[in-house]
Order: sequence, then C-alpha cells, then structure tokens
Amino acid sequence: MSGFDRAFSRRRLLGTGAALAGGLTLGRTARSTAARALAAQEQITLQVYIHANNPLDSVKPLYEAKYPNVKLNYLEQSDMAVFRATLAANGEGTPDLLRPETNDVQDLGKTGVLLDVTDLVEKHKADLAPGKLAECFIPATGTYAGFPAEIGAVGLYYREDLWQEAGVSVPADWTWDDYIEAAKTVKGKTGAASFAFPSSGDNQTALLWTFVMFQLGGSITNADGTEVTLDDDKGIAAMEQVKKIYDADVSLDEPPFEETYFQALVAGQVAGAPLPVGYRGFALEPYVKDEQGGLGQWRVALLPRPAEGAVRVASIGGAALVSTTYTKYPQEVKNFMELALGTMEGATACGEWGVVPTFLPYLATDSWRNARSEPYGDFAFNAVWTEAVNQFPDTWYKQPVFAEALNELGAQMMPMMGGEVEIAAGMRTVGDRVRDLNARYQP
Amino acid sequence: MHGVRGTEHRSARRRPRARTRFARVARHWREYLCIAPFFVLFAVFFAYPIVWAFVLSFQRWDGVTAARWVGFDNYAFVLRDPVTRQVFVNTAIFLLLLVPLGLILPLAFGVILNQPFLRLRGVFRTILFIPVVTSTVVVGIVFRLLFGSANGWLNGLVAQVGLGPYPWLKDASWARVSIVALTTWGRLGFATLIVLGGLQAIDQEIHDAARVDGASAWNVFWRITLPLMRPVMIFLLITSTIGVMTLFSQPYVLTRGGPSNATLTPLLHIYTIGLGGAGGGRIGDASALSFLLSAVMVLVAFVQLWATWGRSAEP
Amino acid sequence: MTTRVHHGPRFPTATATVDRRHRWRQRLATAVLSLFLAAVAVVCLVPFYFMAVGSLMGEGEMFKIPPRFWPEEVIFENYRELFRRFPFLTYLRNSALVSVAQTVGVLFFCSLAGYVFAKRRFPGRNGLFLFVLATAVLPSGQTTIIPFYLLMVKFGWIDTFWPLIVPWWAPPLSIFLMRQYIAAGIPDEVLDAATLDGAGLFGTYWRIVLPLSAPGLVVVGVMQFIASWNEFLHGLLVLKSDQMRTVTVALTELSRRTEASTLYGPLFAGITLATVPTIVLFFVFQRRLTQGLLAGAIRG
Repeated sequence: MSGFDRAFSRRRLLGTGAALAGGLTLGRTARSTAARALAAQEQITLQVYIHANNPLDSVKPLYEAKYPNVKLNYLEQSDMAVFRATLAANGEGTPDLLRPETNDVQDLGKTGVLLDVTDLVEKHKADLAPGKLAECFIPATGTYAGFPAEIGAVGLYYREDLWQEAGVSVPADWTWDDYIEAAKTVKGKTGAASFAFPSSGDNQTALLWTFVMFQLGGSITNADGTEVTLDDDKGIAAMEQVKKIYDADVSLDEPPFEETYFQALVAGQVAGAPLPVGYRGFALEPYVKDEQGGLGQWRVALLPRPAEGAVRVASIGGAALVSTTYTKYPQEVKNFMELALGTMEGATACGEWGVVPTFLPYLATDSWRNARSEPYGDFAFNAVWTEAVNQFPDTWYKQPVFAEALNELGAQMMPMMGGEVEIAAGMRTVGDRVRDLNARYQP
Repeated sequence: MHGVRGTEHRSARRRPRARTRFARVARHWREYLCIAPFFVLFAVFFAYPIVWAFVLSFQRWDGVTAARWVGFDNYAFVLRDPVTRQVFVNTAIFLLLLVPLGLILPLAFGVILNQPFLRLRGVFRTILFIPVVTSTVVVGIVFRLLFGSANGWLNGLVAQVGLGPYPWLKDASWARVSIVALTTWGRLGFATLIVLGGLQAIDQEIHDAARVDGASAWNVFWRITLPLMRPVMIFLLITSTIGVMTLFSQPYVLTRGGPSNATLTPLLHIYTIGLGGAGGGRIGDASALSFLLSAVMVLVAFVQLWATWGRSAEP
Repeated sequence: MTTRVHHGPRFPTATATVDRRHRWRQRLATAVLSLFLAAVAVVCLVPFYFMAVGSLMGEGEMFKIPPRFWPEEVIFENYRELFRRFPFLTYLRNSALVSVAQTVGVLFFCSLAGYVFAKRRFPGRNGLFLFVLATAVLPSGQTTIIPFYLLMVKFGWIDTFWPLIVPWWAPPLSIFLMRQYIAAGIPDEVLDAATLDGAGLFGTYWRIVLPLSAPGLVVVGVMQFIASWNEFLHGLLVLKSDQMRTVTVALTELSRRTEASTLYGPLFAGITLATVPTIVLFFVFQRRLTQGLLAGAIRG
C-alpha cells in the first residue's frame, strides 16, 4: 500500500475524526468555563446595540464615570433583523440595551420579551412628556416595555430670506391650505420648494400623510392594534390634504433625510419643509455655510393646521431605550436608562446633541431655551420645540403592523396622487390590505 | 514484473469476490468517502434548515414567542396576497428582459471577441470581466448614487449630450431598467467567456468544409455554429433563469423593492417580511412564500430542460 | 495553418479584386466593432471611475448641484478618516481569512468529489451526481436564513468565522465544474497507469489528478475566492462584533445609515479599497482563468 493510502486507511480516518470531535467539544467547554469566570468578577460590560452618531454617545462617559465598574460596549449594529434573530435564538447574543423605534417597542413589548421597566417609569412619570409615555406603554400587559427616549416632533422649517423675497410671512395661526398658497408664491418668486415629497412609493412617500393624520388625531390602528383605522374619515381627509400639496407642485422629489436633499438645500432649492427635530434639524450645520444655503436665515415654526382644532405638531419616529428579559444585569441597565433619560445631566447631554429629550424639567432650563446654531442666526428655535412638545398628543398608536402599513400606503399613494385612483376608494383598498396584514399579527 | 496489484486483485486475495449488493457498495468505501463531505454538509446546513423552514411555513412565529400551528393558513394568505402577485409579475418582467439579454449579448460579444482581426481582444475581454469579480452590494452603493436623483451623476452625464434628467430609480419602468442594467453589467463578462469557450471548442474544419461548399458566413453561423453551441446556451439559459428568480442584491441596494413595489423580487420580499425590513416577524409567511418560489423554480427548470435537452447533441 | 483553436468564420479569399474589397470591408468592420467595444468598455469601467473619484472628493462634493465629475481638490482625507473611524485593516484581514479558508476547502473537497464522479465507477454514481446538481436549484440563502442562524447558535458559532466557511465547502456547481474539467482534461490512460503502479484512490488523486486539473482548480478557486469575498448576507447576521466583521458586511452596515452623514466620503474610500483585492486577484490569475474558462468546460 502506498504511503498516502496508508495515511487514509479506514482506521486512521476514524481516529482523526474522533480526535477532531474531541477537540471541538473540549474547545467549547473551555469557552464556557472562561465565560463563567469572567462573570464572577466585579467588572461588568453591557452590550449596547447602537449606530454611530446618536445622542447616547454623549451619555456614555457620564455613565462610566458614575458607575466605574460597568463598561458600555457600543456595538455598531442598527439592524432590527439581527436583534430579532438573537431573540429567536433564545437570547444568545442579545444585547443588554438597544434603542429601537417605538413601533418595535410595541411589537416586541407584547411578546413579553422586553424588560419590564414600569417601576422606573413610574418613578419619573411626572417629569416625562405624556405623549411620549404612551408610546412605551403596552396596553395588553399594562406595563412599560421601554423608557421613552426622544420626542420625534415635527415642525416647519423655513428660510426667512427666501420668504421675504417672496413677500410671505408666518402668521400666528394658519392652515395647510394657507401654507400651500404661500408655497406657490415662494416657488414663483424664488423657484424653491416648500415640501420634501419623494415619489419613491414607500414609507418615505407616506410621510406627509402621517404628519397630517397625526395632527387630526387619527392613527393607523387603535390602541391595542386589533383594529385598523387608517382609512377612517380622518385618514381620507389627510390623504386629500396631501393630494392638494401634490397638485400644487411645490415639492422637491427627494427623501428629506438623504444627501441629495441636503445638497438641493445648499443650492438654494429648498425654502422650507415640515421636518423633524433632532439631529436632522441640527444636521443643517455641516451643510449650511453660506448665503446660498441660507446661513443665519433658517427658522422653525409650528406646523400649519389641517383643520380647526387639530394640533400644530406631528410625530416621526422617536426611539425608546429597551432591554430584554435575557439581560443578566437589569439593575445596571435601568441605571443607564435613568441617567440617560431621567436626569438633568442625561437630558442635557442628549439635548445638546440635538434631540428633544422627554425629560420635561430640562425643557424649562435656560440652556435649552437659549440654544443657538449658526444656520439659524440668532433665532431661539427651542422655544418652538417646547411649545410643540406641549401640544404632543398620545393618540398615535404604533402597533406591529405599523411599518408594513406605511409601506403599503406609500406603495398605493402615487396612483392616488396622480388621480388615477379616487382617494376614498384608494384608502379603502389600503385599509383592507392592512387589515389582512394585521390579522397576521394577532395572537 | 512487479506484482500487478489492482484493487480487484487485492480484495480477491483478502476475501471472496463480492456477491451481495452491500459488499459491492462497501468495496467502494473510498469513493463514498470522497463525496461524503458534500452530503454531510448538505444534510446539516441545507437540508436540515430547509426541513425546518418547511415546518415553519405551517406555523405562525414572530421569532420571539412560541410558534403556533396554523396549517395552510400561511400558504392561503400568500396566495391571495396582491404583493405575491406583484412579486411574480416583476419576476416575469425581469425574465423577459434579462434572459434574452443574458443569451444574446454574451453570444454577440463572444462572436465579436472571437474575430481574429480585432486587436486588443484580450484587453476587452478583461475589462468586460472586471465587473464580475466585484461585490454587487458594495458597488451597488455607487450605482445608487450614479442613478440616484435628478441631480445624480448619470443625469449629469446625459445632460452633457443634451438629454433631460431621467427618473432612473423613481419611476417603475425606469427602475426596472436600472436593475436590468446593474445585473447585466455584473454578469456579462462571465457569460461571454463561457460562450467564447464554447466557440473556440468548435472544430475549425467543420467551418472550413462549409465554406468550401460555398456557405455564407451568416449561414455558417446559423446552421453550424449555433447548433453546436447548444449545450452552452442551455447552460446560460438555466443559470440566467435561476439568477433572475433569485435576484436579491441588486434591488436590495438600488431600490429596496423599488417605486411602489415595482422592483420587489421574491427573495427580497421574503427577506423583508421574514427578517424585519418592515416590522417583520412574519416568519411563517416568509417560509411559505419561499417554498412556493422554489416550487416555481423547479417547475421552470424542468420545463426548460425538457424543452431543450432532448434536441441537444450529447457529448 | 493548423491552429488548434477555432477563431470564428473567416472571410473567404477567392480572387484578387474580391480580396481587396473584403479587406476594405474587414477594416470597416474592425473600426466599427472596435469603437463599439470601446464604448462598452467605458460603460463597464464608469462605476469604478466614480468609485475612485468619489473617494477623493471633499465633504458633500459628490452631491453638488450640478454634479461634479472631478474633485475640485483631490484629497486623501476620506481614506484617513476611514482608517481612523473604523478598523478597516481588521475588516480586510477578516475577509482574507474567510475567503482563503473557504477556497482551500472548496478546492480540496470539490476536486476530490469531482474526480470520483468523473473517473471512478461505483454504485449509484450517476444518480448521486444528478442529486448534487439538483441541489443547485434548491432555495438557500434568504429562505433558510432563520433556521440557519438558529443552527449556528446551536453550534456556538455566532460571532465566529465558521458559518462563513464550513457550510460552503462543497457547492454543487463547483463539483460540477471540477467533474467536467477532470472528465475532459485527464486522459484515462494516465489514471490506469497509476492504478497499475499500485496507487489507490487517494494516491492517484494527490499525485495525478490534482496537478493535471490545475486549470480547473484555478478557475474554481478564483471564482470561489471572489464569491466568498463578496458574500454579505450570512455575515451580516452572524458577525456581531466590529472586530469580526468582513469588509462587505462592514460597508453594507455603513451604507445603511440614512442619517445626513458625512460618511459618504469614507464609505467610497472603503468601497474602493474593498474592490481592489478582487480586481488584483483577477489580474494576477487572469490568463489561467480565461484559459480555464475557454477550455470549454461547459459542454453539456
């Protein structure tokens, strides 16, 4: 027999196989022993799923200074799919903290996998904005599944210089129809757009509708997600309002959070748009550097009303801090939540980063009220945001079907805008479709 | 002479000639060992998950709470869901666009690059192949910016020749064209090389004989070259069909399903509803759709093979 | 002239006048086709141009209106920023590690299996081979991603490289290709001679099949390396910590963030750097690769 054939003889192979199997098993047990030894030490590390560039970056040093035995490991991970996969794996690799959108909080909160932070929330309830609290409250279980992070308020951004050029000014109170008229004037005189209305047929397209719907007090579903309400009278009215915007042809066809939008802005093509607060607003700073971009000319105002009695603020996103029942350090996690979102220091750090924290006492401080930013010149924008927070209702429910509903709406919107589909009929189609989808999420 | 020691001889010395079926199989244990890795890997990492996914397709599971048996409910939903219809319509459109392109273009380029009077053929071949070796998703990001907006680079380029800005990714039909462009860009070189290989394998004497008999170049191509290229073309047909039906990276990076689901492909949809692109957590539905897709794929493959194999020249 | 390779139909050369006319026609055809090919070549390369140019542009310059095709000022800040913010070298190292490990495994297992399917007789050979081929059409990837992930959890392979290496060691198409190369490229006489000399299966494999199937190995190896380098879906799911990420996964994560970011410059720098290795690899092996592909392995 040749050397090689001897090497590959049956017995040799079986032996090597056994050795390999043994080695692998040994390796795995060694790993778990090491893990146990590590946990026994004082030093704790919390795994945090977060994406770079967000308000919690400023909170990290504060926390680590206050609790020296705990380290925060910020993992660059923003994909909910990955998080869900860890949950599916019974908590293997699940982070101790993450900052999801509130519709995910509702979705996951129902399943009971999120850490119950009711005690923490109750402790600080008086200091937290009520409209935001509702987003973290799970009606089905009667508990709070997350600690409210920032308020995703939407306001109207506009450029003073372009409006002056067009001879338009902001009245004390106005409707969307008034704003559309003004926008037409602005476009006529300066060529600039007054909305960001992407025709991509996805949830970005549906954005304007969500603003108006929110203002009218409507919602995509009812509070516990058992009924779909997006195609009720308010929904139809909201869509009709959006159609008026579309027909006026005063919009920029770009999603408002992309580079392309900001470049159009810098080139002077944007005179205003309803946009959220937060870093998206402050993100003007890296871009607006000269006259063409409107340096010093940017202002914020409350949104126009869609109708009498509607509020003048809308909502977009807004996150919460959550943990899971798999975490080994619930107390440390809650400490972080408390520090980041329930104390003045944390709120200040977040607020200075550029979001509107839920922590009401901070909104009353001078540092908040007097914040300035170059694109806005000497304008005290935070006064507007505080007012917006005061008007923030708690009727915008984000149940599990929320994200898919927005996609469906977006997909069906362009035919409605183009007039091929009548609005009432179109909304009914979307409504039935979302009902079908919603049935998939019922227990 | 050294003892002639074939395997038969060796085993004949060790034990009586194998008579039972099992002994015959056992005699070839080495061969089976060689192909065992494939079967083991397949069983563990593919068959088992597929079976698992099949089971999941009859359950309702959000990935977190306990799974619940729902029988054929997921399949029923998927079959009546208008998005499913949209997704297969999109696939049909992509098939109609990409498969002919995936056959004609490589053939054309193969023939062109096979002409001896062209200079720098090797260079062109290489350039054509470079897109194949790059990552679709990563380069796709560049494409998205190229095609991206009204003020994007591509529109800037065509503006140089006076053509208006086009909604490359904003309009349904344009978006599909963009996807076709990206996909073809990334696959053409490989297909062309395979065609070239097939062309160069054809015996020159057959062509010369035809020429001597007075056949025109065109006739030679149609009556002789093309039939001889049949196996290659069948291979390209099947692989491009499979490629279209599993299209994922291109729409994922360019349009995320495109304006109003116009470029939503089956796999992208499965990924979205199963893994949480939009809330997600409809794992049962995703599984059901994926099995429907594979059923369709197997059917299409069968039809293609049946229609083409019978008439091909067996090597 | 007896060239072994066939190069397309030639224009017949009958008489002198016909000759002249045909030569003129040939020159016209050359000119037209060359121009056409040049245009196609430009189209193929344009994205790489923008990739490189974008990585050299200043902040936001990529999106300026009207669009710029050349940076106002060539800067390397993006590359510096890329390496400063992210452990890019680690990403590259991880990608290289995974790709090499996977490719070596594929070369070994697929050539072995291909050899056995091509040249050895054993009961059920054809049926098993057809089975291998059939699995190529089966759903994998997105369909089975959740069970796949759960399986990886059971193995304890999350946040390791194993899920990106082991399951892909025997892709059916590679087995098919190797089988074709070996069936067509290795004459039976050589194998018979080896058997007569007393070599068993593995001996023959190691000493004869492997060396002789080098062109096939190069093709399969290079294609597999590139495919592995460009893989992102499973990596996205399984690689958690930044230190473990491969280049494509890291870049996909980066590009996903829709914040108004100043990250596009470094992102383009990263994309350029990530694309370079595969292109270099391709150039190095280009001759062998095209030789192998042109050897007409796809013949039925």
